Amino acid sequence: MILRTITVSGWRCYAAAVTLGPFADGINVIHAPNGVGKSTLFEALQRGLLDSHRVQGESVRLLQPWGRELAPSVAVEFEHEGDEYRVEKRFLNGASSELLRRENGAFNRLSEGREADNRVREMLLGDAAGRGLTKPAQWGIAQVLWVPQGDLAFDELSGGLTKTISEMLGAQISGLEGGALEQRVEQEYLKYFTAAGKLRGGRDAPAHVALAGQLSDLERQRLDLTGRLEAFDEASRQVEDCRVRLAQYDARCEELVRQIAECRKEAARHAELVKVRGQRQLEASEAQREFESCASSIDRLAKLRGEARDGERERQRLESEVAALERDDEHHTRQQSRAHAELLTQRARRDDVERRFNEAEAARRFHELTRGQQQLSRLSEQSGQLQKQIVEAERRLSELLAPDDGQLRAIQAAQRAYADAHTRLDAVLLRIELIPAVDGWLEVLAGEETGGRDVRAGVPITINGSPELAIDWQGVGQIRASGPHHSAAELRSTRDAAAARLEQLCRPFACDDIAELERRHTEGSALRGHIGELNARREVLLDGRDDRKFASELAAVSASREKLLREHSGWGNSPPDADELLAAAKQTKDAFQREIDRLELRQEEVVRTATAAKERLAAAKATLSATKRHGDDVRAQIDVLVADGRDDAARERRRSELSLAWLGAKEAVEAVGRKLDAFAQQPDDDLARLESQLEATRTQQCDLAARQHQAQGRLDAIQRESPYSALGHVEEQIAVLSARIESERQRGEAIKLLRDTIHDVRQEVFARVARPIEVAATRMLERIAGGRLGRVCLDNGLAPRGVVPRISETDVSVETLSGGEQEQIYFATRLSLAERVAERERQLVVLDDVLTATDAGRLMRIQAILEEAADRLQVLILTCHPERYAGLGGCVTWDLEAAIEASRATVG
Amino acid sequence: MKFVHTADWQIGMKAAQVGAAAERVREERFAAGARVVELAIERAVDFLLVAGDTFEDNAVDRVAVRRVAEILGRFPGPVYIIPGNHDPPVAGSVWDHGAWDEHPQLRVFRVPDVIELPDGRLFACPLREKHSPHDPTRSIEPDTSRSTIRIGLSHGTVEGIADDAVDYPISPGVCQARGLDYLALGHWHSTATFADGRVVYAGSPETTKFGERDSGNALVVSIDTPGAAPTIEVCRTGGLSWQVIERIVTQPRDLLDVAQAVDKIADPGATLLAVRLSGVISASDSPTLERIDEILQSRFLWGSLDASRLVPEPSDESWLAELPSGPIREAAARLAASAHASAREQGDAQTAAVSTQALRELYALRTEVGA
Repeated sequence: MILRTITVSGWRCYAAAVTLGPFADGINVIHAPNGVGKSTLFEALQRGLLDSHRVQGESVRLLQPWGRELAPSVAVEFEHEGDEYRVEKRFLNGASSELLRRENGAFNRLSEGREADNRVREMLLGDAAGRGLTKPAQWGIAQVLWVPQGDLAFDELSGGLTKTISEMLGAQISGLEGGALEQRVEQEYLKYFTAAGKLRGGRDAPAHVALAGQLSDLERQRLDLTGRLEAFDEASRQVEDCRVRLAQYDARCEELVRQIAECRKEAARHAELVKVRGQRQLEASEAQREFESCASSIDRLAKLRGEARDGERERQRLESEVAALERDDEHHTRQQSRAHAELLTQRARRDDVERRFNEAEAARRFHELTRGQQQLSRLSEQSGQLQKQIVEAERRLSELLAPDDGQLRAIQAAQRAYADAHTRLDAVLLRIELIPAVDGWLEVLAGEETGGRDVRAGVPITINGSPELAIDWQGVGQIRASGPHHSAAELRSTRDAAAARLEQLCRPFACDDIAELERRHTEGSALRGHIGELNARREVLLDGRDDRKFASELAAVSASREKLLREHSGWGNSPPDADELLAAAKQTKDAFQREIDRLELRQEEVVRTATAAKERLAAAKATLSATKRHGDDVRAQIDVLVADGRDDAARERRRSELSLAWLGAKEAVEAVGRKLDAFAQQPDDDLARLESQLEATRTQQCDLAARQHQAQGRLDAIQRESPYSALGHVEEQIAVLSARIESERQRGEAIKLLRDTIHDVRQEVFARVARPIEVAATRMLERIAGGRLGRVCLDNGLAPRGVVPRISETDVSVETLSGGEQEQIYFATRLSLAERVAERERQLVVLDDVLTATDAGRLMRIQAILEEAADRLQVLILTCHPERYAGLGGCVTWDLEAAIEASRATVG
Repeated sequence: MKFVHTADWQIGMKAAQVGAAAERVREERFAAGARVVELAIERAVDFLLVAGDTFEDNAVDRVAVRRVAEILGRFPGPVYIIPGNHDPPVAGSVWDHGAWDEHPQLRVFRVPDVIELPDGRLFACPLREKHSPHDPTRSIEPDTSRSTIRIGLSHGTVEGIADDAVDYPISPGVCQARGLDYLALGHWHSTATFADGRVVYAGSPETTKFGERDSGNALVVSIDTPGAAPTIEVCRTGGLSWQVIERIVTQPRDLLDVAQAVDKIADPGATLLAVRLSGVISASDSPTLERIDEILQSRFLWGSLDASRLVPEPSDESWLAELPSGPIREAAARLAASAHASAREQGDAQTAAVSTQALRELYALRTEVGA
């Protein structure tokens, strides 16, 4: 369909009728400033062609010009499939619709009212008008071709348009029936799967999923029952095993019982033989005992007789020996007494020895005291002399009046202080030296020393003072001198204080001559040193004792010596020789000690000898006594042995008889022993062993019986459960359920396969539809914006989804691109779609103020594309920037404002 | 002498493969056993031989044991029973049940034994465990004098009838070697005779599964004199019929034939029927297929239709043409091609089955939407 003219009246800003046209087949640019009515014109075109004339509502009433109660009207002349048509519609008041067709050069009415509305839509869109205002989604092909202001972008095309485009491209899309069947397939599919392709779960799960839980339960039951069946077999095996083993144990027990019986017989026989052997042994023992007793008696009798004889001889010998020992004992006793007396006598001489030693000691002591006394006297005399010298030196020191070190230092310091003060004072004093030529008299008015004084000719006079000097020299005049103002008073005071201090320090020594004091100090120091030396010598003499102690000691020594002199009166005149006395005492002592030792040794020996003699005597007596008793015993035993009245020959005969009897008994014992040796083992041991085995076997039997009982119990319990039959029931249920589940599952698989196959085919079909559009749009975009953006990708609704840049493998969403690039992509896509739609018939493309974000360069390239598209499309551009499209070739421009003015002028 | 030879009652057997019909299958085995006893009574035989595997397992329901004892106890004469490999006389076995002692004429042999019959001798060779490589008849003392009728009663596999290593192998020449006039065997469930009709399997009195050649019988055996050939009468005792219809469908007519065959089966209430189809199917065959399935489910004791090996007819594009053009038709064509490729070229039966079912689902939905 291409547009020829449009006339609008009573429509928003078009109060009066405005007609534009006839439009060119190619590019038409309608320009006007904002608010003049470009978009309103486009709106009128839409409504006039697509809407029902009977629409009502606020949105229609808003079409009326402000403040006017006019009926919006539009008349559109267009060409479609070679025919020219004119549709006239009036909305609201007096709503009407007429479709006319040019026939024989004039427009003739073709239809009116609703029929006219529908016919126009069917020509253009293929469907009837709706009840309300038509939305862009209901524009059919115009959805692609007509672009309202700000609506260059689009999300998707309506299914009908997609189908139309697809059919135009030769792609087969299911019709209504196909759509219904596809929906039905989808419904069946959704019973099994979610839209995302996952198997449904929960309440909406398909039967085979919902039944899976039951199947799991049955499987668990089967597992349990299979386990019970296995337990049944196991218990049965255990019971059987126990039976077999019990039978074995029974046989074993029987055998053991038999062996035990046999063994008991043997044991009884063995025991009998043992008993017999015991008896024989007793008899043999008795015979042996009798024999040995008889033989022993005979031997003993002979022996006793021999002992009796020997005993008698021994007694006699012992009696002689005892007598000799007694005599010997008496002798030793006498010797012992004699030795003891001699020792006592010698011991009595010990006091004399001690007396000699004491005397020697006293002599030594006497000499020692004498020496001590002399020494002490000498020391006393020396000490006295030293004491005198000390006294003398101290006297001289006290008369010297010498200062000690500290005193001298203090005096020297005071002297220095004074000299210093004096020097300072002298430094600050003014000084005048007068040398009178004649005698005279002057008076010092101001100075250090004021007052008058006589002067002599040629005798200098020095006058000091500070801070000034004033001299009244009689006959001469006054002499004044002044100098720096110093505090001579302070210095003077300092000097005076130093002088007073010095005087004070020197006063005890009655001398203020420092040199003299220093001399005295030196001399005093020497005296003190001498005094110290004398004291030290005296201390050495006294050896730490004071005079009192020294005297006391001397007195004691003297007293002790006097005592010894009194005890030994001759010593005063003739002192003893201590060494000689000591030697004599030692000699005496040695002789004494030797004698003592000899006597003591002798006594020990005598005592030992005497003791030995006594012991021998005692032993001999004891032996004699024992011998006597033994002899008595022997005779008593002999009496006992011969008490039977037999003689020796008879006894010998008796012994022979008993020997024979004993041999016979022994032979009998050996015979029984041989019988016992015939037994290979001890029957009792065998019996014990067999009985133990029997006991153990019976114990094992009992245990096994208990285990069998338990196993039987388990077997019976499982038996009552009838596990095989129960398992059969469960397996049958599983089979039924499994078959049902498998059937459902397979149906689900079949439905899924069906649905997926249809879906895949649709995708392929769509790909065939979308691909040419993508290619065309990509080429167009490349011409506009270069190759950077790459390939245009469309979605299922043939709307741009994004681009795939050459340097990327992934889509870049349209929304992430700039506004201008988005415009260009949508423009390229729309134009590509439009060119597909226009393959059979030239179509009208309306662009209402689009590409506002596109730069001039790209706009120029777009214009070139539009020029090319004008071969197949009628392009109607609505803009408020006519200059942008000034370069468009073959373009017809329409000044809408001028047209409106012209219409007003016409009306006015 | 005349006796009834039966075996392999397999009382308490599982039948999971027939799902809900398993209980009926198990119950029918009692009825079949009763029919054996009734046969024995009706024919006034001298005794009844039960050659093993009376029970499926020693752990079956004890009530079932009592029921069997009471069924066998209805026979007034001696009933000689040996345990088989399914019910060996181990601890806890069915033979420990007190019900056996309540019927004095029932004699269960737990160990090999010989008993005197009125006109002969019976050598009972019971099994004592589930598996064994030994010949159970080895305890029979050979005696080829033919002085009396010698009957053997055992359970095992006659050598040569199975390729695998077998349990309890029995030589086909056992009768000649041991001087037996008849060896009554159990273990194999179909009636069979070997060695000139002297080594005989009675077979199970009630079929136990699909594919058994000739089960559901009991034998009435007559031996007149020692050494004489036994006269064997096979008597039907089975109450249920296990049938399989296997067909390769190549044209629509084939499926109709199957439907008719199913329709004609007598007594479906006592029939277990497995229908296994393979080949190609057209879209128009779907209703027939569904009808077959419905009949199987509704009319038969147990019915199963296995159409997993049916694939769409490659030349059948009519129903594809009826599909809406576009993705649906294209998808259907692909599914058909996939089914064929999977079935024929790749041998992937599962994929072929899913593809075929997907087409059938599409067909059904299309019919629903179109309606």
